[in-house]
Amino acid sequence: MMPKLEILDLKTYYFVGPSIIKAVNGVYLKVNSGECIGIAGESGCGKSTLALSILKLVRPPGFIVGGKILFNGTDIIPLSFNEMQKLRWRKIAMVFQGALNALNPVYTIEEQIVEAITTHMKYGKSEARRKAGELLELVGLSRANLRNYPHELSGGMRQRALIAMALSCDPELLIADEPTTALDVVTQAQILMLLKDLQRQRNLTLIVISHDLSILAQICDRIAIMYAGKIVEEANIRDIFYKPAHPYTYALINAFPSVKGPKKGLFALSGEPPDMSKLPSGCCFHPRCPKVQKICYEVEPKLIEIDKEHYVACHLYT
Amino acid sequence: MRPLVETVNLKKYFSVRRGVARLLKGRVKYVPAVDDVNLKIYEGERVSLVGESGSGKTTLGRLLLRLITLTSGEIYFEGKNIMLLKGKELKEFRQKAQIIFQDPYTALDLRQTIRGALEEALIIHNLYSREERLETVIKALKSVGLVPPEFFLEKYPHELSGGQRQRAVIARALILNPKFLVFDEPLSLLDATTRVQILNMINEVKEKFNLTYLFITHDIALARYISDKMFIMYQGKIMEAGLTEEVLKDPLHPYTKTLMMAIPVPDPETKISLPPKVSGMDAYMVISLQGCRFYPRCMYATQQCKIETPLLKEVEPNRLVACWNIKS
Amino acid sequence: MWRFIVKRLIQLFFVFIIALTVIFIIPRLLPGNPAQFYITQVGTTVPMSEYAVQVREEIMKRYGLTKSYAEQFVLYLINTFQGYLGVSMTYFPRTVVELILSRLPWTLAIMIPARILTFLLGYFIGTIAAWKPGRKLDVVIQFAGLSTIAFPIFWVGALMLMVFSYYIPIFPRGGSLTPGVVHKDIWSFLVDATYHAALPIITLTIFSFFGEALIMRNNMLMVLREDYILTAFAKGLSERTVMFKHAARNALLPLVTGLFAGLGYLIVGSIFIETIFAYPGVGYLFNQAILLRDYPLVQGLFILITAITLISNFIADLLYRLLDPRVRLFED
Repeated sequence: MMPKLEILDLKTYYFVGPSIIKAVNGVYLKVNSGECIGIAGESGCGKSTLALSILKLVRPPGFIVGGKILFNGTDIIPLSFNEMQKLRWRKIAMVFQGALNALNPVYTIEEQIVEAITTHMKYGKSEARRKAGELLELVGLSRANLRNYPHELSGGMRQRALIAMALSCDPELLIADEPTTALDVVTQAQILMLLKDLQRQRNLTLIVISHDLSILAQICDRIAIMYAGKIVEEANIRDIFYKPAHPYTYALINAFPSVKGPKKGLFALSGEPPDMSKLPSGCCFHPRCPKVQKICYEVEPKLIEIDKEHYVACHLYT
Repeated sequence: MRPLVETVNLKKYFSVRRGVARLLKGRVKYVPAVDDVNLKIYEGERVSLVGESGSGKTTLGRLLLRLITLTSGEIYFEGKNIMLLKGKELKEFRQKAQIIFQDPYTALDLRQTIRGALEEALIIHNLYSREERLETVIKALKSVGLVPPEFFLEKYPHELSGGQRQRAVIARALILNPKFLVFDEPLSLLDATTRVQILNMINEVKEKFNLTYLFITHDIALARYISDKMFIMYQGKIMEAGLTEEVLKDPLHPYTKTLMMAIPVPDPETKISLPPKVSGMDAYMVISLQGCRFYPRCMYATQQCKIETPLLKEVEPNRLVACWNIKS
Repeated sequence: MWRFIVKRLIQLFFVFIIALTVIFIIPRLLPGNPAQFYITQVGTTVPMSEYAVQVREEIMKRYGLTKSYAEQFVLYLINTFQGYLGVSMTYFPRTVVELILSRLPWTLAIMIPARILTFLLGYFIGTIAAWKPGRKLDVVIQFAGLSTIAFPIFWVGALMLMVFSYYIPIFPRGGSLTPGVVHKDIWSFLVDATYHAALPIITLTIFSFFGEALIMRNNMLMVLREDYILTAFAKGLSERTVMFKHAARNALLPLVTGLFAGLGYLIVGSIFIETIFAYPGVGYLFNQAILLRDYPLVQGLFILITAITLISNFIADLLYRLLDPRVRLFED
């Protein structure tokens, strides 16, 4: 079956003065219909830029410079602005991080959701308002919240409102970029459970981006690990946590100590994430890799399948 | 034995005209950031203070170091009331009690080299001669892992990475050989992998310098790896206190129980869950100043919980809980 | 809600009293007395030697300056609140209030259209400039905005007069109406008045709208960086919708309140433009009054400006609260 989204060798660079920040530097990713895939990585690895690139929302000085993004088999990169506007929200929707500012402060929740609905669907105003109320109830808010302004709601409620708005046009693909940052633990749990429920109910394809592997462990079927603008490992969730292949994956899992179970020793990776405008040669991870070999300095490893649906880009396996 | 740090009925109330706290009951014009806190920290203890945003943990940390004034109550350091310290005694206190802030970028003077920042600490407290100072600085840099030290001496903060900056901040605090350190969320702005590095460094250094510290964080998992004792704070009050491993293995307070259920772990087989009565409210919303602060979200809540504020009581050896429903 | 309004009005009242006090004190702090200049003026028309003292006393009595300061102050306050601002010296026996009211409509006839035009043009052009930052329109706005802020209005006015009234005689040389013409009906009156008001209005607008556009542009650029703009694009809205409905609506707030807060400037700003165009409005009157030391008139005009400024600031404050839902409507 055709994957819902397939990204082939995507490159998005930021041109700032003399330097080129290679935020997304040759990403390969495959997302099947109805799947929930997580993209994990630390700050600066390019995951937010990747999310924006899928919707072609990268603003200058950032540009998509190469690759293909196949949505339902069609490459969306060559599409015009108008053609993209028909795709945005209607087929692919996005929930941004930091729901503090993702909603316009001078319009009510109702106005913003209705705007989304009437832009894409053939609903009249009153029908749209009714649908907006239904959506809010779906995410655990009340219809009364329609009349609220964003600042009148708490962080968790705003995030729910954003999710409601994202689902308003019944998209096929939803991208959630750090959906639970800045939320307290309980609210975080509620939002995660909500996303999982909605995904199942609507057979939604969900991409969740986070620096926190623990939350991805909760709701994702597969996880892709991103480092320095590339996907270095992609596998189903059990393989990632129980059979991590890439040394970075192993280090990242260890960076999230567990509150439950026995207290294990923490393995610390040396060094820092790389400067995206001055990437190391060969494998970008080689300066920090505990298992580095000579070839890692010179040749960039490609993603290969080492097990069923388990991909790694590492010379340990070539 | 006398505790190193002790607070007695400590209160810090902030007055607000229009609130960050959504106050539903009555026109209350203040936010009780720290609300009647009694704690004791003994020398050699490594204690974590765990709470979510709005719990008052940062305020408590700053109060302990006399960085802000209190509303009522007392704070004792080495037996002396810190709000009454003056002159030489106050300066000694400042040397012995240090704080590490959350954002290393703003904690360092951007126009000062690392060497300058560290030496300044020594100069202020009149320690060592000029020659000895440089040696001490180099030793401090080595102990926090900024090696080779000569490389970092003349660097400015913006030339360093986040992890390196935080190491420099810690070096600056340790160079004075303090007796007590408050860590205020020092790792939350760092990358996951960097966080582990600094965590390990702190664990190494604590033995070497004989540190007693209070580690403030919202991340219970982190607290587990850095502390032997744990305080759980919620809306200005300590809800539970005890040995870290025991609190995590067997949480008694309903809030702690809720946290342990809701915190995700990096294991796909262990899924989070939530207790039945949890509402959609956020943790920082102050609802009422009467009764138990956790009442609106508690699954065991009774009428008594609504009216009377529970006191922190020892229900088991080495375990304190503030809850009417936990019997000793 | 009423508590807030009443509280505000009481505050305004106190500020007004303080301003009135200052307006009262300043002329009396100067050497001599407020009527000194006038007395000297009169002295040149009348042989002063024999009647000097009598004339002086008569003038002082007429303007109440013989009374004690306390008495003067109390009378001053009472009169002001009853709407009586004294009698002009140069236009004796016309009262200050009557003078101001007779000139005010002419001033408003040029200042209000100019302000509205400035606002509208600034809003649109500023929005469009921010739409494509760095491109031609934006560069022009930035440059023109910064320069026009630096130019003095009277220089611009004189330049406009020279070009469009002298070298290319489209507009009249000044004044509010063609001298000597009697108008049969309201229409010919309006046409003539508009013809004379046109150049001042154009001058004012050109002088100000670049600056306004620049402010709007800068606000827009700040707003465009916000996350909700990204959300708006992600929702599939057209660029125009995002610019005007989402971004401009936020960027506009300071401009709208600036519009109202600057109402006091309508009077003060008219001084230069009316003088250049010999346009008989309140500004021209103000200029004359100052030159001729007509202190009741100057005093009256200051009181007028104070009152307008206080009220318009109050309105601007309320308006901001209405327009920005984040600010609670009736609280401090």
